[in-house]
Amino acid sequence: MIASGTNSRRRGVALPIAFLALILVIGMVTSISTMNQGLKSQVFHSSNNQWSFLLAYSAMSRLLAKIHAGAWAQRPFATAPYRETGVPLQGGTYDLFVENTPGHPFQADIYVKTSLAGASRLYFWRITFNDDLLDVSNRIIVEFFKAGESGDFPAAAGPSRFSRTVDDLLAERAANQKKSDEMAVTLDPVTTAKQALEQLGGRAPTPFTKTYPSNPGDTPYPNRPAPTFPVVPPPTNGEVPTSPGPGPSTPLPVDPSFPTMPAAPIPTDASMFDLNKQVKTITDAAKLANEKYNTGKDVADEGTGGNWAEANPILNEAEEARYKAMAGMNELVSLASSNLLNAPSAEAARATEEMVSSTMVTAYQDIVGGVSRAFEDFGKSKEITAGLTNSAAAQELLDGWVGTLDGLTKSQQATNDLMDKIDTFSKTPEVATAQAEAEKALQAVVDSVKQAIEDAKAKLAELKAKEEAEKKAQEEAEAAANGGTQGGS
Amino acid sequence: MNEFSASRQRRDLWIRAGVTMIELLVVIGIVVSVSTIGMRFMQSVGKSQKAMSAQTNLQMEARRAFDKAVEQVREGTELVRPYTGETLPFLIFKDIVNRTTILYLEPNNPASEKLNRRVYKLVSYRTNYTGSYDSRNEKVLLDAVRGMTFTSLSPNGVQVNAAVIHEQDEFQFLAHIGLMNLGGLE
Repeated sequence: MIASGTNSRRRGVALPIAFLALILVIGMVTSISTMNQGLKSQVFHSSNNQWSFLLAYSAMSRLLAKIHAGAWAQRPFATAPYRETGVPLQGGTYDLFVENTPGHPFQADIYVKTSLAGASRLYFWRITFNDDLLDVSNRIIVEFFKAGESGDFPAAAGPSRFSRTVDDLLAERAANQKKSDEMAVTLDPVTTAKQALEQLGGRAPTPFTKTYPSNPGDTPYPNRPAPTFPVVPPPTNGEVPTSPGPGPSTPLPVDPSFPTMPAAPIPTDASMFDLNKQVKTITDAAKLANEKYNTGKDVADEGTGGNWAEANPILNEAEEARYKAMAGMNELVSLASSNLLNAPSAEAARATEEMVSSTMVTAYQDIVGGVSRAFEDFGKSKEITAGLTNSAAAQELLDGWVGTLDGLTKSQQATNDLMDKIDTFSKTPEVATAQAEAEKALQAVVDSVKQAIEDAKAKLAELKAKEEAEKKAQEEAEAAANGGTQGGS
Repeated sequence: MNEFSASRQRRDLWIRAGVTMIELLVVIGIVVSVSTIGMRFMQSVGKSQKAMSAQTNLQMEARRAFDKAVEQVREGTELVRPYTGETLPFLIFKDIVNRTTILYLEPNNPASEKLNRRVYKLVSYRTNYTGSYDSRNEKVLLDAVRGMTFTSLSPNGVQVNAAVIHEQDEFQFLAHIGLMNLGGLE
């Protein structure tokens, strides 16, 4: 009895120790797995950033669908901001706030705050509604996008700190439009990053300091050019349908060919390139005209003045340059008009317009400056006419000046008509002022010629009256002389 | 006597309840077996942990750089280079405020020395149109890249093909990044 009791109490410590060891091993394995899990979760967390954007984009797309569904006047935020709060989507939630952009008709500010996996993010879009019944496919244009802090989600209607920041950024965008377009043209031919960095004002990349073995398959990446599309010739005769068909048969032409399609300018990067090329042509021609007008007048003024025989060939060159500049200006407006039809954005269109108007006005100023110089002598018409001694010379001068006025008026009309074409183009205040001043200067030249003609007419009348009086006096003297002789005889 | 006998019996039992040699051998055997299995398991876990950690770090680094690149490129509005259908080792685009940005590879000499192979950095530079270099506009997006190409498949999207390298491993990734389409949503 005692022995059996003793046997039942006999136990060692092997099992507890083994059990403890197992617990330790399991604990270590668990902790390692947890660490791995932590690393994995970091990877997943980083992808939430992308996911969150998609969530916000989906929320915005839902709103755009609502805007598309009706007229702009029936938009959900027409009279007050439209809100959605805590809407579940794609495993997260979003808050939406939409309001009319303060001070901008047909524009809306969209704020979407997403909450995903414990993180909250804010996305902002400013859109413009294109209220065009004939173009229902592209009514909503995104003017701006920006990601922000979730604390910037607006609580009330009206301009917020965030929307003011957006206004500033949009202003910066418009200011940089022209520079970026010009930069894009200069980056057109580059083939290496080094060349591109030179254009962008960046630092030249440092080369490898020594030769390293090349990686397997590490061949230099070739600059793979854009594919060129093959020219497809028109079908040959055999491909033209020859079945007689119903009705009277019409003999096929001997050499059937496709009708020639009118060559419509397709605004692309190439057309922007043409635009820039045209700008240079105009600027050069207008500068040349100005230079030649001034040189011609300098030559005419040499010596005692009136050296027009030598000056005229130079002035003719000036006129040729002026015609070239004006033809170029006409071409520039046509090119720009076709380019504007397909402008990628309102800012791009405005930048193109400003570039064209700036070029046109600069050329206009150069031409008017040259013409003013060449015609400056008309301001001294009184001095010129004072030197006239007979009516024949005065008449000749008057006829010449009338012809000059006729040509000048026609030129003024043509130039002003040309400048009228950019009336609707966007212009900076400086350009608009410069254009008004140039128009005024050209009108002043015309007025001076008109005044000169009036002076010449007055001088002609004066000389004619004088000559008439002299003639009469002479006749009277002759009559008196004749009478005396007769009386004497 | 009986009480004395009972007390002695309890003392004997106490002595007999101690660790015998056999029991000790069994315990040692079990502990050695478990330890051996545990050690081998730990070694394999350690190896896979190290490999996985390296791989994960590499992926994390690539993902981080990718996020940076995506963030930059997504806020771009217009591709300047490459043109559609063109593949280049650099990318030039305009951003939301019409600043022109270039992403390009620059040789990373210290990393090349360490790995004894050509290693590059992915650098972004954003021009301020003054024509002069401003270091504040330059950022290193990725430290160790074996190669990277940009292919424009559409006017609003660019495909990035990159190989990120590490001391022991290499990680390739292919991504299609869409630029912000300010011309209109479809």
